[in-house]
Amino acid sequence: MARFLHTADLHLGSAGDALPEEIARQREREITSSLPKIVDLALERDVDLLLVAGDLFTDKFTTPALLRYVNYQFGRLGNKHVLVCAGNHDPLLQDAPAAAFPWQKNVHFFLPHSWQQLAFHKLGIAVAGISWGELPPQPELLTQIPASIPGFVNIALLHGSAGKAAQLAAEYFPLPEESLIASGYQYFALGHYHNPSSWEAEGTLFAYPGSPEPLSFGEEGRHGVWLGETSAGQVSISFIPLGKREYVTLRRDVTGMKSEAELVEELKKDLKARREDLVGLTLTGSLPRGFKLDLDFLKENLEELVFYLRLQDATWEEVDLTDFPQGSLRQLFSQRLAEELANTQDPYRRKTLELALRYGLEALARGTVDLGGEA
Amino acid sequence: MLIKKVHVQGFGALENASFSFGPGVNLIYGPNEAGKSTLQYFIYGLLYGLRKKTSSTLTDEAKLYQPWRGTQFGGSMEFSVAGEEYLLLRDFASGGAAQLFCGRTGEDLTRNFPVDPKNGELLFASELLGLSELAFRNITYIGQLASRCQRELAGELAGKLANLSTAGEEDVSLRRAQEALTRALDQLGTMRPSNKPLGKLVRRARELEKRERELAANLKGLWQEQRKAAALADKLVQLNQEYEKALARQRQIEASLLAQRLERIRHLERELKTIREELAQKAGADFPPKLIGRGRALEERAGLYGAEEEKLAEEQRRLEEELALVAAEAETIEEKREKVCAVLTMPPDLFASSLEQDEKILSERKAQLKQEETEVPKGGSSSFAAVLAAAAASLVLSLFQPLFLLPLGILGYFAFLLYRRRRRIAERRIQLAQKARELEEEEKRLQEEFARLDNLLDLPGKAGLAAWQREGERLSGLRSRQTFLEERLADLRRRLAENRELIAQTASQIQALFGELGVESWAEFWQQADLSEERQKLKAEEGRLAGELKLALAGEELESLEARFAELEKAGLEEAASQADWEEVSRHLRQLELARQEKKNELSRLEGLLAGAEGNSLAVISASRAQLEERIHSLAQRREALEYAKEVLSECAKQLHRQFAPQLAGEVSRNFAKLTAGRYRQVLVSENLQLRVEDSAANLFTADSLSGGSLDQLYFALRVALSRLVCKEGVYPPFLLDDSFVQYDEARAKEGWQLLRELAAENQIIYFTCHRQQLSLAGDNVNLIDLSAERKEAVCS
Repeated sequence: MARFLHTADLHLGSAGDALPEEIARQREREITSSLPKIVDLALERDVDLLLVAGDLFTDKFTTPALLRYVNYQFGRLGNKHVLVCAGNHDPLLQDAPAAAFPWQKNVHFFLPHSWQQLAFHKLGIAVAGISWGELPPQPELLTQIPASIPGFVNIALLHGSAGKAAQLAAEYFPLPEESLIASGYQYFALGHYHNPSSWEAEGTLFAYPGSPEPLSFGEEGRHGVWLGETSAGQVSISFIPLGKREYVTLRRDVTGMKSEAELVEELKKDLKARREDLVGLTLTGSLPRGFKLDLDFLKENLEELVFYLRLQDATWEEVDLTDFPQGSLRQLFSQRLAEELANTQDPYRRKTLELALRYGLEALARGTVDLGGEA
Repeated sequence: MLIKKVHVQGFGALENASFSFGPGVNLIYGPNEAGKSTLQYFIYGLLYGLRKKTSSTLTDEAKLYQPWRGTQFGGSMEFSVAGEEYLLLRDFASGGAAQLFCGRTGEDLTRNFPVDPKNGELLFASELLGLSELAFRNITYIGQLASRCQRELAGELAGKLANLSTAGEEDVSLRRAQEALTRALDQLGTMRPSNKPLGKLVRRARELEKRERELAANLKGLWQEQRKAAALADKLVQLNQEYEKALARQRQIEASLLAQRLERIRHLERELKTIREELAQKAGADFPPKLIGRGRALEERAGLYGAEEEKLAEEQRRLEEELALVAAEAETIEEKREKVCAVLTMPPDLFASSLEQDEKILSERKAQLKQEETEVPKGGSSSFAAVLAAAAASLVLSLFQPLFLLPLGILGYFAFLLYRRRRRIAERRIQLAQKARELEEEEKRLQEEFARLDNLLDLPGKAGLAAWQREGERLSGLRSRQTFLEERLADLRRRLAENRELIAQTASQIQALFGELGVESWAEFWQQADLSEERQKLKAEEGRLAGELKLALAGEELESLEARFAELEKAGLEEAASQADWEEVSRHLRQLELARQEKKNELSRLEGLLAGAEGNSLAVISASRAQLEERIHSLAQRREALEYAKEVLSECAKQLHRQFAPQLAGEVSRNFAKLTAGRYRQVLVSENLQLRVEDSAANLFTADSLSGGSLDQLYFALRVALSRLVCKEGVYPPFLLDDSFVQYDEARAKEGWQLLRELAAENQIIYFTCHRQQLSLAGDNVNLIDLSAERKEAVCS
């Protein structure tokens, strides 16, 4: 029996998407710390292989110091093998830092353009892999995948778009399931998508570990790595959560809300267990005409409850066209925008129209426009 | 809307009074002070409250209506709107809070309506009627002497009409809204960097973008440094190998040199042993080099003093001989000269000088004598003979003539004188002859004296005196020389004495030295001294060898050197290695070490640079900028929304204006023509919504040129038109008129009532009047409330 850890999309050096500087700085440290956590786990579980399925780095943020740090961490694994394929964010270009770097002896980077297959006889595992280079690996390469070695558990280490996405993401190394299954491999250690997933098809196991630390809103839920075990020529995997924080998106319908204070009290309950998380709170629903959410108040009261709060106001003003005198400007204005809204699908345009409706009615009713906190 | 019942708890003069109203026309009749205006104001207060616009306190006007008798300040109203029944309760005393209930179920509907945030007023009436408080007061709430007020309000109404034409609502202003949107756009700023919110974010984003570019360039530089570091690391490995090689060679040379050194040490040790043996053989007292030096000096000094003694003695002898010769010669000359002087009684030169002096005097005396002789007269004998002849002739003649006696006398006297003179000359000649003999004798003596001098000096005349002079000078020279020699001799003798003293002292010192060293002679002294010096030389050689040995050992023990050699020998020895080889390889090693150190330092600097470059992470700046871009995007969207709202508002307003003006004009024309019994047939609404009227003769008048009554009718017509245009669809607000037709003539009053009756088909009319004639004008189907009777009733109850 052999054990391995399967990770991908660490994006070391990155700080996550669109965050204030201080938060980004801390996230950068946390994202970088995901590697020592993985190494600790590998040592603790005494795995034989560490598989990294691409995007170990974000190349534009990679510094020499980071490479040294990563090399040091890999070095801690001693004689445990680290097999890495490069992804679209850290392709092995000719002058890529990782290409010329003097890696520890236990670290192996798969080459771009052609397959390599490493057979670990003691473990009974053979790992084939290919890296991203100047160009993404071409789909026809899948036909050249090394033949599975009989008596070994055959694993492929790839960075690309498998599953349903294979047809949608042609530029990101599409990996049609039927081609992969036909190769006779037991486990496809994949990377590219930042949320973990795994599925089995015709006796072949596919798995994306996702990023061990989430990188942006939309990468919700637990993040970690797959711990794999081989036994009797089969692979079984279990998910080990490692993420320091989670991104959480909450949508809260404020229709019928009496006051911001009431809303704060309700949201406090929702955010109670999210102290360490990055929360994207979107307020939706309609507000009585002329009523405006005090976002500053909400932010002041909620911000301290979580690690980072991104508050978005997606509410709209409750407009009943019958509220306005027939034929009045307000009625005409509201009706015109309501009609446009009804015919618009684009979220950005919809939001713009909602704001235009709100601002126009506010200007007509009060002679002022409140642009909200930031403005 | 239909007001069904109003109950006044307490409001001005009214207290505990109830009034029931019906649909259509309700005529409230009462004399002055009956409370008509109070009731009208009470109804208004029930609907819209009596608070100030900016606070919950009562207006000053409302305070005038506080109950006279201290009853509760407020009341209630039952009404219906669009088929819904409502009960309104209001207590003006407690800030005028309104409570609204469903008339059928009793459900509290208060929370269903918004509250004015400024004064806390419940905005149910505005919501239900679609008329703001201001619109209600200007359209359906018509007070007494309205025309006068309207004239003042004409300007304001024109503005409201503009609102109505562009906004469809008199208190909704397009211009104000457009300005608000423009202000908001201005407040937001543009995408150009500025101090406005959007501009600020854009500026910050650009700063971050610039920082990002710098960091990216910096990172690129870092990678170059990293490549340099890698190359340096390779070079360092190469240098290390070269260094190790050179080090191995250095050890081999060192082993070889150590072998040579050990050989030398052993050689030195042997030589040292020989010297020490020789020293042991030549044992004896050591003459201190100082004493040897001192002996040498004393010996030299004694020799010097001896030589000086001899030299001085020789000089003394020579001087003494010369002195004897000089003294003898001087003595001889001196004796001779003393004899001459003794003969002459004076030195010959003085003697000669004296003789010459005498000779000179003699010569002078002789010259004087000669002179004197020439001066003596020759004798006068011819004169005397002539005189004597004359005297004799006179005497002879006297004898012939006595008178010749006188010349005989005179001639006699002359003859006497001549005689005496002749005798003195004779005497003088005798004297001179005597003197001449004396001078001859003197001259003779002088000649003898000169002869004697010449004889004494052995030479005649001047030559003798010159010889005498020279001899005197010679004597003087001899005497000087004699004195000089004597002084020299005295000095020489003193020096001799001193030298002898020194010789004695030196001898004494030599004796002391000999005594000190135990020798008796210089020969013995020098023999001992030579031996001592030889021993010193041996000792010096011993010292030198010992020093060299020490140098060769260099503080190490021979055993440890031998052990080290044994260790080095294992790696082999370089044949015929020299110190120069060792120095060469050492120099090479130093160069390698220097190069190694240089590379290490450079590598260390690069490593530091690379390690320290983690701050100011590009990723952090990038994430931060992305977040900023989101915010910019959000504000830009707001800007877009504001601009779009402005655009749509403008378009809608144009559309509205196109619809409103003709609609309003038609409605007002119809009403105004009715009210004026056809005198004015049309009301025109201009582009800027000014009202003009056209009479039946097609004459145009501006509104403010009408009489007060006509203007009042015009505005009444306008109010009626506005109530149709402005109010919520299906909702007809009640008209509250306080004797509005009081200024109308009978015909127009009839028309006014006709218009009211038409209006009453949809709107409830509540007309307050104190004029009974209005009762007949109002017509039959009227709900009359006689306030005087009501009041009495109320007071009675």
